[in-house]
Amino acid sequence: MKMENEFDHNSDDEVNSPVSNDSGSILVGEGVLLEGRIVNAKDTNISGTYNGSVSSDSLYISKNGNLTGDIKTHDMTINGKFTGDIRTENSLVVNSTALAKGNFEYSTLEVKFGATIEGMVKHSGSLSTFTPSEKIASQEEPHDLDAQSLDSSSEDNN
Amino acid sequence: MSIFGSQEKKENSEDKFTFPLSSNTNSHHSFISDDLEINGNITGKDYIDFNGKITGTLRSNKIDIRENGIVNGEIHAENVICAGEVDGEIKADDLYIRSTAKIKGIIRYKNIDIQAGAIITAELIKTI
Repeated sequence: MKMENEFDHNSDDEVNSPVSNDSGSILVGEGVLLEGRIVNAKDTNISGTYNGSVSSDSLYISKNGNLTGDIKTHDMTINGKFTGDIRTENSLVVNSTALAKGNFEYSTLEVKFGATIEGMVKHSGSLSTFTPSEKIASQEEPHDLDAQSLDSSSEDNN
Repeated sequence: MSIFGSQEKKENSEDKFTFPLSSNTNSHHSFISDDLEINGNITGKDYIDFNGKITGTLRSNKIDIRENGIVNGEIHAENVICAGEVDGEIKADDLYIRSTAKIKGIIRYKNIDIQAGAIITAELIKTI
């Protein structure tokens, strides 16, 4: 399922929409199973099960939510289950009920006591301020981090 | 009554005869100042208040890596509070990472708490 920009200009959605101001919003309700791809969203709320990628300004996985896929957001909060890769430009909050596995790239990471978070976590943007003695070989190009750090790290392996 | 009432004064007078850090509890409270640079391992059974710099392994029940503390190596403890820099491995049951912390390497935990602001590039592994 791909949401395109033209969707916003479609006046028909005002009629059918249960929420009056839902521009850019996506809600996957509890009990719902959805698979696909979300792009250009503003607010995404996963309370059901969603398999697929998400590109959204903010992404919220509620306690019963279950998300599997690749995520690109500004801000993200996890209360439920997550498996996949996350890139948050700003904040990533993992609350105590969360069960998150995968690769996490973040600017600000907050994990509440009791949460499960497993995999690689990678701080982006300020590696220049953190030079702990030696061997930062795997992250040698801080300039690339903003745009394509995930891509560049996979290229390095080739 | 007057004896209990003046307990504070009594403790003060005892301070003259005992090492200040050991006066408050009968546990073992070890303090490593930021003046110390250690190459090697530190093994304790109780509490280590770590402000120095170590290349090696820190092992104890509870370890506090303060903001000035720098660890190149491993930290093993049931309870770890990290506000300083770690390059290596942390293994803890309860791990609290403060906002000033900078961590690189591997983190093994049972319970973890990370304050916003901490700079972490690491592999997180939950142990059972």
